[in-house]
Amino acid sequence: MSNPANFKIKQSTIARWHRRAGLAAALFVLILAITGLLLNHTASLALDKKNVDSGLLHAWYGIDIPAQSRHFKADSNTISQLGEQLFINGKPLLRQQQLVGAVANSLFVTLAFEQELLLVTSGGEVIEHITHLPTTENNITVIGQDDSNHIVLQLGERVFIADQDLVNWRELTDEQSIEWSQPIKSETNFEDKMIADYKKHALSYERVLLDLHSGRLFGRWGPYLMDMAAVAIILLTISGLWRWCQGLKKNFYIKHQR
Amino acid sequence: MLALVLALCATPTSARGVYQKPGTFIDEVFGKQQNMAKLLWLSQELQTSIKRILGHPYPTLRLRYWQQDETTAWILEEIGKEKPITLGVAIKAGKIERLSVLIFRESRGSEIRYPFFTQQFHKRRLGQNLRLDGAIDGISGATLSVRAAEKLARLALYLHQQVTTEP
Repeated sequence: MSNPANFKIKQSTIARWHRRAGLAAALFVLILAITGLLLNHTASLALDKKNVDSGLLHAWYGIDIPAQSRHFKADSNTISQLGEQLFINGKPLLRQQQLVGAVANSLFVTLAFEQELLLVTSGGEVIEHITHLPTTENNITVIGQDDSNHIVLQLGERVFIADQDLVNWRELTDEQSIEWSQPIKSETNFEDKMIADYKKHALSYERVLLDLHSGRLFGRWGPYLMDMAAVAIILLTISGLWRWCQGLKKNFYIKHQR
Repeated sequence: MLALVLALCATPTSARGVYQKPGTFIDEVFGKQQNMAKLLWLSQELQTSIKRILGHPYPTLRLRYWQQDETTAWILEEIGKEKPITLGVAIKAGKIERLSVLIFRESRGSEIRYPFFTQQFHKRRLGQNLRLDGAIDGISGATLSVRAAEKLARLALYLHQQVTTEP
């Protein structure tokens, strides 16, 4: 039978280290558990759609504002693009590939991208996304309008003109007076608004929670910290079980001594 | 079976891209004929049914489709997890003739572009409660893309009904 004095030493050593490991890991275990719970319900909580509006976190992530913004005037509307984010009159629209140009008539504003067109109202409501272009051979290089406000597209060397509703296209072979959309200089009153909005939409709660859960938010050594917390949980479970078993053993020993 | 295994093994980690230009899809369905496009304005009533299919209204005010006799073709988009997946669906007499993934923008789930998946939609009809008349087998790891493809197939069948049924 083991010496009760040795047994006592072992028990107290284990208990001390069990306590220390528990205290050391407590904060990380809390972080893991809370972020894990939230990440399990990302979709229902719409965490991937909600964005973090914190200058501190933006600076921590090193979120930079794209150096180049593009602006086009379409009738009285200003269409801008910062990075992939599109804006109409300073109001965020959606994210798209690079804007080639924009024109407007009395019905809608037409935004041209290399492989598609987007029809929107001046209020930013999306009317239609047109991915079927008059030819599949080339990308859109420029968009314009003729004197009757018909949309004209140049795809490679070929030029096509649309009907009023942009349903059917025919190739233009003869010279016509076309006003092509050209980039304009930035409008500073929109620029600040655009930058603020870009920052606001650059970082989702889901991203921050994922990085907090994995430890990446704490830098290069963060994942190792979380690894240590995970190892601590394993050790705590083992030492806790061991202590419980020893307690049972001790009770059994005392009971049979009597 | 061997083709399926080889296809899955060959899957790159990210398979975003344009697999077929929408124009090429339409040309393949109808031949190189022009001026068959029509517009369907999505009324409140249509959007109510669309919401039953997609779980939300279609994000545009109108849709473009192509029609020749009893065949229609649709280019539709639905978000898988984060980004829209563009599908081409051709329907003949109320049954899906062809479903193709045209543009895939998500980082996962592009396996839905393979024929072993898309061929399951062949000859499917719209059953009760705006559902397909048969089950579509899913793909592990591509649940959201599979769900988006199934929703768009149902939507195309529903819209086909709307434009081909006499008022």
